[in-house]
Amino acid sequence: MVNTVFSDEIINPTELKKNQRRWLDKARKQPVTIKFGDSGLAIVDRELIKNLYAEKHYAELLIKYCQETGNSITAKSSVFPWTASLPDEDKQEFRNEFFTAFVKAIQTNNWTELEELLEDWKATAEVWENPENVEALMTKEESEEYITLEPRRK
Amino acid sequence: MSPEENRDIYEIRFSRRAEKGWKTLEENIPEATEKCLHFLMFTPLDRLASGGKIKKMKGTFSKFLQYDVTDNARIQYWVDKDCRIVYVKYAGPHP
Repeated sequence: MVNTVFSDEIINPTELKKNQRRWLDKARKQPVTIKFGDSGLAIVDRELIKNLYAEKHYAELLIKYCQETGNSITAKSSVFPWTASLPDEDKQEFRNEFFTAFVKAIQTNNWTELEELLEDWKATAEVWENPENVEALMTKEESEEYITLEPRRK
Repeated sequence: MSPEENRDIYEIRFSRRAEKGWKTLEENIPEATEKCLHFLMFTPLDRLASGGKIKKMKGTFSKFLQYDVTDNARIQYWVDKDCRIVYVKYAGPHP
């Protein structure tokens, strides 16, 4: 299965040396494997490898997080220990958003959104660790209770 | 500042609590607060322009954005885009 999905062309080092340009061009579209003794070395587009690594990394996080929390949203997580500070409702929302962002990233090969999502949730959890900060955000002010900042003149 | 720049500028308003925190930050880290102020005045919603300093708060606090002034200081605010006003709710230390 893995070999089929990889769908590489296998050549030997002499062939690569003879038609270097051709094989490098080809490797941009699909992997080219050079037989090297008993093993093989692949030439693969860097973006493809980057995506595969990101996919593996986040899949591992997601699976571990699922294993740790199971059906209990209140269970502690060593993958995302900061989720412990979130209220239960926010924990559920984090879980939903994380799953959705992961699926979207796999489909689009864009991992930035998922990375930012995790940063955002971590920052939010840090707010919940600081009662003074929570109180500041929870306090409702009327617009006239705000103080306008006068730009400093240099 | 040119009149053209002035037209696009955001007004910045602080809650009383945030203003106190902001003044402390200004005294201790003037350069970083100046940079933060510039960001709030011109591009308070632009994550890319912030160079990784902005976070979007989530869940209960989803209305707010956070700007990391330094590793140890941050502000949280929300933006009224139509009126071009930035409301700073918290300015203070990072735990």
